Amino acid sequence: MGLVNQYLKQPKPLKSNHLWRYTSWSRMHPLGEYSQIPEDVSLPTIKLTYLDGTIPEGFTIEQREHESEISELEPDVSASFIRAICAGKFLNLEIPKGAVFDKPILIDIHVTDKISALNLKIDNFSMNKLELITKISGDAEWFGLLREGELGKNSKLKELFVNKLDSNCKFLRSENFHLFNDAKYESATMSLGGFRCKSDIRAVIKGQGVDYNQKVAIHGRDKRNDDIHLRIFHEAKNSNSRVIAHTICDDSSRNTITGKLIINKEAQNTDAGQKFLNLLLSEDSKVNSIPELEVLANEVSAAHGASSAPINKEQLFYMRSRGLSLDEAKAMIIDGFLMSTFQNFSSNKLVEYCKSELEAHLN
Amino acid sequence: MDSDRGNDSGSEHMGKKNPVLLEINDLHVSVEGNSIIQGLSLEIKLGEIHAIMGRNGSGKSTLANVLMGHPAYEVTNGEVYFLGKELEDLSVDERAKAGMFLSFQYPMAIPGVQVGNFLKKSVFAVRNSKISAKEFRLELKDKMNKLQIEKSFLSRYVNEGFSGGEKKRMEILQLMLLNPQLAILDETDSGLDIDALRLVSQGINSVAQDAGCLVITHYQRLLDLVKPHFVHIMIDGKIVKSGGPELALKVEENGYDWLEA
Repeated sequence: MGLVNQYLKQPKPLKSNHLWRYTSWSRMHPLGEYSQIPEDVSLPTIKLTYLDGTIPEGFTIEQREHESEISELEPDVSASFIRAICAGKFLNLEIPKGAVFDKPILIDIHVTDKISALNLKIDNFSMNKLELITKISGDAEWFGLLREGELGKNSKLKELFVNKLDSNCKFLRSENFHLFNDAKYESATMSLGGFRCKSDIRAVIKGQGVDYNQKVAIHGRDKRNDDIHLRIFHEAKNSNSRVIAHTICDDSSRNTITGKLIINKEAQNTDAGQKFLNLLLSEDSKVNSIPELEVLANEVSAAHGASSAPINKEQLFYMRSRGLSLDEAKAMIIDGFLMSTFQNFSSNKLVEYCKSELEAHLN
Repeated sequence: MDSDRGNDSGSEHMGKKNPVLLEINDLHVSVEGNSIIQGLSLEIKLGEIHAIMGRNGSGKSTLANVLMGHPAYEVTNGEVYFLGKELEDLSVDERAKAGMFLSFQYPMAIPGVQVGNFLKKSVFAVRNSKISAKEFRLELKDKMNKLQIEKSFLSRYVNEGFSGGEKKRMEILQLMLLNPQLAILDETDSGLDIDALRLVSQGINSVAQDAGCLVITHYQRLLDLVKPHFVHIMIDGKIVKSGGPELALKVEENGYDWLEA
């Protein structure tokens, strides 16, 4: 009961909190009530393969249990809740120090039961080089995913996260990675599925020479509600972080992207930036893009910006003058706007995978 | 309008059998309530190259855009027929499929859309998928070689980060692939160095042999390479004078003031 108590001891998240302002915790809770802990929580089906279906070797994945209480840097209700309903059990992905993988590895997570949850940890990731794809799909009513881990010295992780859940699913994503000296982390998220999605993505930069790149593409359509909060905490000096988010706002979708960039007073010579772009396709859709800076160091470069605009009529005219119908031209612009999020992403294989998933989704 | 119907030898060369591609009768066009084109008439037959010259703001680009069906332009009077069909009834993409092509003065960038994919979709749309993927690849390679375009061009995003010359070569590559019956070229020569201008002109001439062309330009240097049969001068939304290639030379030498008298 230690982890359940730890969750219940946390203050109830308030709407005044930047993180929960647009999608309240009660709307994301599987039962709608803060103090209720669901009992019938299942583990999703997980397949771990290379893209050609063969089984990768060289690392282990096994179930472990957390200690009774987890020390947290700051309140994290999503992580705490998922740990509690997973009864402290987590899947540990252990990669031998220095191992390098030349092909992307796919973690295919499929959720079918009413309430499903998974806590995934990346352990001992140091001096490694890995390309990882995490794909979630299925028709569960509620799915909670907590991913956490440490990216040790000189590690290089490029990853793609694809959300292709069915349109009836509520999805809570919680993520917390700590990055140490010279770690390079490039992440791309393609958020396409689910009915109501909330992501709380955190990174703590604890070492020098870190490069943290987070790229997020969101396709809001029908009544989909997607709320992504990114929090990057620079604790150490001489590191970089970049966040780019592109959101399509169609039909009566509700989309929120909030970014909080905190640069500690020790984190001198930090270079950080956040850029949020929104493409508005419908008058009924809504988008909130709120980058936020908290800079305590005095020798830093920190920039943020957000812009929203409807589809460019001159682009449509140009494409239609080449024989494409209005619908074909719009579809290409949507596809292009989402895929341009991943411009300069350094893994062609991950970008190609992402592109094929997006094409399947749009078709 | 002072119209002497231009280059007679050109007309004879074309012969009377050549069908009329484009027929514009007393066209009036407004944009946001401002009258831009004020009674323009023009006829282009298959195999003819017509050049339109005029000062900035005389309505040349408006004419190009309205012919292609830009939604911001309102036809307030007159008719335009393409191959005997009234253009007003056709959407922009239907005009492209019917055989019209506009080479843009300022081609739009389309972030995230790769050139190769865009060209393929355009060609398949215009040719109604009557080309196999293999035929398309071979044709694309051939046209790119002719325009000296690198293969890496295909994976770039359409017009994004392109130099002025690259944009214009991209336009001519599309012209060659879509192989229209009527090509409207809106200041295709602007921003080109002399070598690029030669390549682009060769591309235009290769299509013009079996099509009609409406070339909008400010400069004789393009008309030295893409030789027009007719030259028209536009002032204040009207064609005020038509003639043969010598008219362009006269404008190059004397400007437009003498035409306003």
